[in-house]
Amino acid sequence: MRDVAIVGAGQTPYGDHPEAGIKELFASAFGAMADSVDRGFDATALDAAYVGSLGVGGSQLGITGASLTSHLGLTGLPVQRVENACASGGFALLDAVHAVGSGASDAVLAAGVEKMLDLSGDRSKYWLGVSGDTEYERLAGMTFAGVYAIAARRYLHETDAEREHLSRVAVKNHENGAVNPKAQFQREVSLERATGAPEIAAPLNLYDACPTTDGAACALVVPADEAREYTDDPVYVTGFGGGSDHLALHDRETITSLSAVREAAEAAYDRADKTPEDVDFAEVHDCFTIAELLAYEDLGFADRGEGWRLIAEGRTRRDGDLPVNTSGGLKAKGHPLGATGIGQVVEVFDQLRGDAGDRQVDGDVALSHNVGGSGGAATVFIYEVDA
Amino acid sequence: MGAHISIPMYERTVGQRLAFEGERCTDCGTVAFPPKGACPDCRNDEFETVDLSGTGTVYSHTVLSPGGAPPEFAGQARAEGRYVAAIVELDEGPRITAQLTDIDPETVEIGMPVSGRIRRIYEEEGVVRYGFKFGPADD
Amino acid sequence: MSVGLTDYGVSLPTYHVTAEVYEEVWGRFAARIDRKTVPAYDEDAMTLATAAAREVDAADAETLAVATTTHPQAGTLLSGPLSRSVGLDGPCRTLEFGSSWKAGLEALDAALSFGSGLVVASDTPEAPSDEDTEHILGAGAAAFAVGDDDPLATVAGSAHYVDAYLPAKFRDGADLTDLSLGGYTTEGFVEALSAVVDDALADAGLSTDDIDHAVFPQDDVKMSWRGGGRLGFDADQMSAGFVVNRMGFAAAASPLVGLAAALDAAEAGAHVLVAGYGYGHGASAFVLETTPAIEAPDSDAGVDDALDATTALEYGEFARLREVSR
Repeated sequence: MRDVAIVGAGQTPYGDHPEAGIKELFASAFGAMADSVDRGFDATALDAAYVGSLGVGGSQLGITGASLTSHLGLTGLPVQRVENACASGGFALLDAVHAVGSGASDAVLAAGVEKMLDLSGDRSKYWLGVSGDTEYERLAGMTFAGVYAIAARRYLHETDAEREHLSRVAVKNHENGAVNPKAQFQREVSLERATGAPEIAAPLNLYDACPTTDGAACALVVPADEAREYTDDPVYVTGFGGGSDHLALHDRETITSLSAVREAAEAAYDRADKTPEDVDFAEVHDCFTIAELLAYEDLGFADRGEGWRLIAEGRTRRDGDLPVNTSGGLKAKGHPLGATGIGQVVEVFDQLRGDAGDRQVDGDVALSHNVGGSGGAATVFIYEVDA
Repeated sequence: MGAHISIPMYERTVGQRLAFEGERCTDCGTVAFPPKGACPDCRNDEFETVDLSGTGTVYSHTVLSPGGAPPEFAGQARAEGRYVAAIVELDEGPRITAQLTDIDPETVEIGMPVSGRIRRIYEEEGVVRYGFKFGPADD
Repeated sequence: MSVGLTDYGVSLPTYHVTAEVYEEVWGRFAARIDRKTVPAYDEDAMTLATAAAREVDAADAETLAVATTTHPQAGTLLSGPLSRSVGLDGPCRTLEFGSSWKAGLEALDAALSFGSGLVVASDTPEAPSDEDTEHILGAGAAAFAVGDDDPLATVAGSAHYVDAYLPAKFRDGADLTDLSLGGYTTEGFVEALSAVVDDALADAGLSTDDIDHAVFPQDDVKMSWRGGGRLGFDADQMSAGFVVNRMGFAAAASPLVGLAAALDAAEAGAHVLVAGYGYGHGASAFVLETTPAIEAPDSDAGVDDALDATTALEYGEFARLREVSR
């Protein structure tokens, strides 16, 4: 398998876009991506595209991918929608990496898009629940927040973590979102406010949850040995892995560690020949605050049951030794489901190339972590730049 | 609009929902509930049906606020407010997600013994879907 | 061995609401009882039936006789989900009764006639809250196993009666209507009841004084109490089975929950009379004689405890629940 690189990455601002549907969001992200390719690129040279989307709203569930690329006049190339719920974007990138790495394709678009804020309340609640186990979790009246709340309760039971540590994740990610012009919430929140927010699914409150978001993101994947045709500063994808698991928490051996993530991380570290200690910063899937603590452990940043110490000690803040979610994460940057995994690439791309402005951190090795549902699917990528 | 579980889809699970029918691997004896396509332990695909006790303990739980209830549970949430969803570890080993009923949400604790009972789960297409919930175990 | 009741159990809904709570809101409580039971959002006649049936050992029953006037899925067999819930699915005869409040006794009659079976009566009658008719309406279920294996009580006598007598109470859609015809209603009630009580006592070779516990229809406290008195029964005989005071009126289930309460109170060798009335109109009565098995420690259905175990609702909570449920 040949090495691959990302030579362009861009996204829409995340948030509410009443003026834009999925086509307009996609077009905007595609344009931002194209602008980021230092030497420019010919869109007609794309020879495949993978578009991550859950299809929220259901208005274009069939052949979503081509509905987007054709909107930009790009017809002819093979395009497909990739669906793994909130990890759809991560799996779109995984497919793109496989396509280029295998030698089958030389310029592949990995994209993600979701339009969530044009739905009525009932439809929105319906769509937010489609990625869990339908037959039992959903029919217990369970919500997306509820599933993570059950994991959080168990985590607080099994470890020495306290409720406040969950809120500290929100506080940290809002600190980062406050300096990200693409973030949905560009404001800080106090610990007092985060701990005192209205309960949504005990023990989780409103500030433990990510928002619903409109947004799209695009990345251009090419062979590493052709990367310099596009830019002097390519970002190499040196590690990648995917994993899967039972959809329902009750079918898993543990609910405080996601085996899909552990599988994906092991594959990514192995391929990149890296260890968790080598990672300089990471974008992780914090759809709920508890998910970030579980990610610390499943990615090997902390031992089982010890992840909360990273947040307690401030080590994952921007000025810590392992900054996590410098973008604001799903919590503050926003979570347009299918776009999220590609949006993480945009942050990593900007950070590794020194383009992250006020939130710039140091580092040559980065990791992104994207989870579908409550851990039914996951991807992990490791990125490097020339030192 | 709510989660669409077709009538035939629900029908295929009535043994589980009304009578805690699980399956036991003919090879290693592992009990699976709800039934799986392969043994969770050894991946053997032959099973015998077993009736589970429907009793167990709370493995973890959440208390859902009414405002976020899925549409098909909005009526329940409006009628009775916050409700408890839990993972229950059955005495035979498997875990299952279900609502807790007949209980004050504030008194639920991990490890608490519970037992199954048949309740209305929800109604779709005019058909009442019955199934188990759990409540405090009988003395 | 003679056929009789080998086991019995009851199930009551989650909640209750008291007379005081009604009086605060409506200025009066028309039911002359202390309180009545209220189903939770996830309870109905089927779930209560299941809970009562699960209290009873009837694993080998070949007949399932069900009574309800408030079938949650009209036009279908309540026996279907019920059978699966209690492990009677398969080769089992089903009989379902539900035209009148006599349905519970009709189901019992059928199972006794077959010599075996599981009898379940479950009801959740309704009416608009702003009508006096609604005040007495409660909910509940009772189940009886019928067979000849060491019964707790055997049948000493029975009687039935039917005639044309225009109804003062009936169901209009889901809601109960009461035309409040006073004396007219009582006369019909007493006429049918006295016919079956007299005949059942004669069938058993007993007189009213021989009856330890008498259970009469309980849709109207005054009528029930006075009617029983006119038939020659006193308060001591009627109080044990008078569950309406804390349950309210649970339609077809009421006589059988009352019977269960009477059996809880009965000692070996006691005579228990249970009578049911159906508007329109007709009546049935059974005289049961308890056996020593009634005194076994686990034979009790705990009706008294079950009535105590329901959770009180404020009127606002009750109104919210009903507004959403109905």
